[in-house]
Amino acid sequence: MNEQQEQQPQVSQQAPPSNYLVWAILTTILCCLPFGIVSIVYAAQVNTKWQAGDYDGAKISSKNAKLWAWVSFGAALAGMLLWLLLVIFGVVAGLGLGALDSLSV
Amino acid sequence: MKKLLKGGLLLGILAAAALFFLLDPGKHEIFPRCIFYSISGYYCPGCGSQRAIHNLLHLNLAGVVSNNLLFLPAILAIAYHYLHPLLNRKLNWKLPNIFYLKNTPWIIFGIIVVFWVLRNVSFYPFCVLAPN
Repeated sequence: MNEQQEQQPQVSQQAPPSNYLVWAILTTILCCLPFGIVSIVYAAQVNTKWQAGDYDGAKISSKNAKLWAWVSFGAALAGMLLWLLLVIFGVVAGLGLGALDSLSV
Repeated sequence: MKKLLKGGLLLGILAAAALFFLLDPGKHEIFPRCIFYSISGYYCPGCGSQRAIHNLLHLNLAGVVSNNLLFLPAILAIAYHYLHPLLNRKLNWKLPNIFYLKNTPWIIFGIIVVFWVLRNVSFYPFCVLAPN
């Protein structure tokens, strides 16, 4: 009996692992790719698993939530860089065409 | 090293803010278009956020809301995340960390998915949700 009473508060005093929900929201609304949604689902798992007493499962979901928030951010960053390259390429190509135009005139 | 990284990050954010303040993402080609929209032709939950940032920096709240209804709530959620431990400590408030309640992620998930579907419906009143 005494042991049980001691064990219970020990567990509830521990903080649950980070669910990265804020970052999931941020990357879903600010980055264009829907990977952030996956991160939100994992964030939900962190909370449910932790409250159900599945602490290891909560930790795994926490890692996945973090991973997918980064994937979402990374995909947005990659898209941005790709776009920048296209713009630079387009500007350069445009300049090249412009130069040709001026040559032929 | 960490200080340098933080300084660089701050500088990057300031530069981006200046760019988003000076140029309207709806009118200039240098702002990347949403990949999801480019591929599928459908709006994603984040479409309109770049224009929303531009509008927010110009304090045009109507513009923010009309470009992305969830943009302001998302900003407020992040503000809450960082402010609530501060307020609890400084003012002895007892604000809960709402992001760790059991149903919060599912409610947010539901809101975003419903928003995602409805903003792609092309008739009134749902067409209001599409970025303009």
